[in-house]
Amino acid sequence: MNHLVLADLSDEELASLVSSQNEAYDILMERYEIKLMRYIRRLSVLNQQEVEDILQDVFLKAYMYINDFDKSLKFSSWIYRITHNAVISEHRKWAKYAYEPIDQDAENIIQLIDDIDFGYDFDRKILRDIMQKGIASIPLKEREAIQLYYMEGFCMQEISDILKKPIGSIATLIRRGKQRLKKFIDRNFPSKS
Amino acid sequence: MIKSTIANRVSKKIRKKSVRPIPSWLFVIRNDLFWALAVLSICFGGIIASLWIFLIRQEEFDLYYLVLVDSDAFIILVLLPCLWLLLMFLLIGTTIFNLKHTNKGYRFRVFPVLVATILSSLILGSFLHSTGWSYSLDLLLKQNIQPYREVRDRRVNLWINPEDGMMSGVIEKVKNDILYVRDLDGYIWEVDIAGIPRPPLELMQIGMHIRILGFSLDEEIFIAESIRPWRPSFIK
Repeated sequence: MNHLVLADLSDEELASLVSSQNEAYDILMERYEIKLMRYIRRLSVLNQQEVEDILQDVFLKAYMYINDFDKSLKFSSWIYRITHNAVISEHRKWAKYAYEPIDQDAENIIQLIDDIDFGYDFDRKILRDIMQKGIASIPLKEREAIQLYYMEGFCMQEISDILKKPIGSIATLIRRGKQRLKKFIDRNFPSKS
Repeated sequence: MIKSTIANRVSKKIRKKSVRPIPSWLFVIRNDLFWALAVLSICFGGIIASLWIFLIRQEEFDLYYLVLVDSDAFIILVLLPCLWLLLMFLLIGTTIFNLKHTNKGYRFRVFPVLVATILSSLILGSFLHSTGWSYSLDLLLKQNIQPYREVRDRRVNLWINPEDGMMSGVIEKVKNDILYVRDLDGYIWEVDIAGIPRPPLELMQIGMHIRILGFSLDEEIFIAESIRPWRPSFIK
């Protein structure tokens, strides 16, 4: 199959062809390079070179373990899981640095703001900036669940497959994260009227 | 042609070093192994549960006052069932660990898995116990495992204490309210059962191995306060 034909296939179809055709994996890597790089940056405070090194390891590992991909899952969940594990295993290197939110998240944060009941009106633009700091302040597990849901756009089941936790636990992580964010905003938002 | 840089780098590395994906059969074996170990743990948990039920049912609770005064009784009545229980919980832990490591094991919450595993072990254990299998296993362990035999033999010794009100033996003859019982040391006792409700007929058969609680009047006469079979009544 040539590159053009392969490009029309779904991620899962490509994954099933990887063992016999390396080109299928090239397309998968192309599809996920930007997304995963952004995900690693969202999760950590690594510099560009470190992010690229992690992503390279992720792609290599995913290639070697491609036969372990469970066809009943989405390929995206599976490759995000590998990325999540790779970033967490590097956690000690970057845990001491403060997390910095990335610019692309600005629009997605509005959706998060809409989902939290503040009980009063607010200036969304100012709130959005504070919210970004709030996200940086919550524990990694809750932050990651919130990021996967609001920034990466995964559903609960997919997040459960990525983080390897039951759906109920994911819902709890997101709920707790939002409660912390609400408290953070209550403390830091300058105008509540 | 790959446009993105990292993908390009990885692609070149894969080709240059002839990296190949790990064969799928290895993952199939790994996943099946976790399932097999989980099922095996439940089976062992069931077997242990059956032995535990066997011991608990055999050692009637009205004898537990002995625990306070007799160190042998403590080992026999409390320690052994507790050891089995501990082992059963260890196996339940193993089951949960293995289930969690199967492909989609992470989707299960620990608490329901814990409850389901305990219930499975207890149901299987009850079934094995009700078929008399636990008695056979107890016998097999006694025959083949020395430390187990020693602990279980103490239980037998507990029932060679007519002066403390506990004896056991095989019925040799039944005459009105007197049972002639040969104890484990080979002595014949006249066991008077006039003071207790008539035991069930199947317990009064010649050749039946029984346990008797009561007190001895002299070296030949024992007044019974309760009679129970040596082994559980469901075992023929």
